[in-house]
Amino acid sequence: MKKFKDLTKKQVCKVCFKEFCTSSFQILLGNSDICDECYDSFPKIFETEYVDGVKVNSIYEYKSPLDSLIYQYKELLDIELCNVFLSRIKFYLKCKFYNYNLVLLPSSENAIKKRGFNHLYEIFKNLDLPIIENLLYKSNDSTQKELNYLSRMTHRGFINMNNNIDIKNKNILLVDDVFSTGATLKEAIKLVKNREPCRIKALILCRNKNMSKFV
Amino acid sequence: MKDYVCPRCNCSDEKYIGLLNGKYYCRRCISSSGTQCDLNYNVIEGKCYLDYSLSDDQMRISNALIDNFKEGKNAIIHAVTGAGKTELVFGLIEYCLNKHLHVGFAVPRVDIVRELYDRFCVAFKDNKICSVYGEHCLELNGDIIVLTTHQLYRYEGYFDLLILDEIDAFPYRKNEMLHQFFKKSIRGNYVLMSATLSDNDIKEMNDNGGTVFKLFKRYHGKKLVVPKYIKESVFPRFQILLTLKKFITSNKPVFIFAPTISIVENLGIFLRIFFRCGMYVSSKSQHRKEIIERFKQGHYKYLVTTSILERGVTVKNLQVMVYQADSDIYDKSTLVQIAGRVGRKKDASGGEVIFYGKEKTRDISDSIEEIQRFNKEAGL
Repeated sequence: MKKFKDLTKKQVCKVCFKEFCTSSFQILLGNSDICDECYDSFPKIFETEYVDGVKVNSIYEYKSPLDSLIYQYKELLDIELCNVFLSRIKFYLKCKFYNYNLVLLPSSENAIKKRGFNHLYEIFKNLDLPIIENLLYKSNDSTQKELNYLSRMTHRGFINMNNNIDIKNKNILLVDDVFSTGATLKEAIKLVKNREPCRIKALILCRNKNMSKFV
Repeated sequence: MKDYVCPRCNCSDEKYIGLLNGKYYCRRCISSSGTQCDLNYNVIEGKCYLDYSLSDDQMRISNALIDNFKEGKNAIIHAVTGAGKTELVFGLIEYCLNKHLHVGFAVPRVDIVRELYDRFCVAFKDNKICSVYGEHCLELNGDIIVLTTHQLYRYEGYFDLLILDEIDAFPYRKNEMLHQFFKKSIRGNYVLMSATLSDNDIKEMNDNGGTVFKLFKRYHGKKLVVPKYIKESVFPRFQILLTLKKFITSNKPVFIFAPTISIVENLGIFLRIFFRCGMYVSSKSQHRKEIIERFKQGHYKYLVTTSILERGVTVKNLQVMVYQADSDIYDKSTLVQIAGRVGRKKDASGGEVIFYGKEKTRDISDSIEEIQRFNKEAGL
């Protein structure tokens, strides 16, 4: 009885700090950290494309308000936003990829240490799917965000794979927060393909369609 | 239990506090992070160039402000709309520049920052004026900083003189975080200004040993335009339409205020069917800067707008209508500010302000009474 009372208690939106009531349908899907108004402002696209033969699913477009929210989460270290990004759709995604293992695309060592948390892990743990930890890692301290398109595409060999972990015949779902040039993803796909998994797909939180910064 | 108080914005409300690796942090002010100004910036001396002279009342207060500042005291100015509040502090700014002190002018709204920047560039043309707001914060240093209250966090302990105008405007009003940013940015003294002050504001200033200045006369000496209340007819949109026609045929520009963005859009689209020479604008409008410019140039004869244009704007011969003035959003201060858009120019000191509503709310009557009271106190 007490747990039910907790569930129907008014929640505070993590983005606008206003109080809101979760509908009973949403209680079924799990508590959401974001109110309807804020969620409606997310630019949802649910698009698919192919990168080196691998199907890539994008949920949102990388523009306002998500660009500043991701900045606030990743760079200003607002960890409380971690559950906001997959709000309302985690049940759908969990069903869609029910038999997949998540592989998180890597950040640089420096970034993880500075941040104090793995930003992708905190977001995608909401899916309750098995995560293969530490399969991919950055070989040097480079960060993608400082490079333009040409540098990113020629900057090969910056991801390494942990060969002690076996992924043969598994369904692998590569996940990342932002897809701009796809350079990181291409590298990751190349490495994963060599280990002969059963299927490979990718799930991207935000697709950056504004390429003007990179050319 | 959380005894955490944010060191930056003084927040202790649980809903704003987050937890990372065992450490608490404040989420209310977290997005207010960024580059800080140069605390050791060298201010150049300056001179105030005005091609018009101030009224006697304005000169009196301008000089009194300088004396007040010399005594190390703060000030609050209660001056009616169109009294020439900005000019009141020009003298004080010039004094501070010549002492190489750090000067700032803060307002809650972006549109007003842009207008003020232009005016300061003309009045203090030998000095570097820096405007700082959300989309424009790469350059933070200058002799005079004109900024939104949100950007004050970049100037911690910087300002020897900080002027805060429109202290009762949204979003500064009732926003504790912005109040903290304001306090923390001041090294010297401050001057508060508004046309619509509460008794509390004045009491607080008196309690803190500051001085209260009053100016209820407009710089041109003519009285404030008193609004009219007209009961909404069965077809309120046509009421607006007919009055609009009257203003357009006598070549007078018009603002039509409406409570929400969607009402503004609906009314705007309706009116444009009959008169294509106008536009609607709100904070949602992507080209609002351009729309307002075109209105000022006379390209648009009327604008249907939300409260974004209720302050700071000066347009010659402007007439004002308020649609659904009985809406909750229109409190006394807002209505007084809206009415203050009319009659600001010396050669166009008259005009009409009409409040349309189903009923004459408390706020409508109070705002009309207050304007009449200002006129009486100014001896007009």
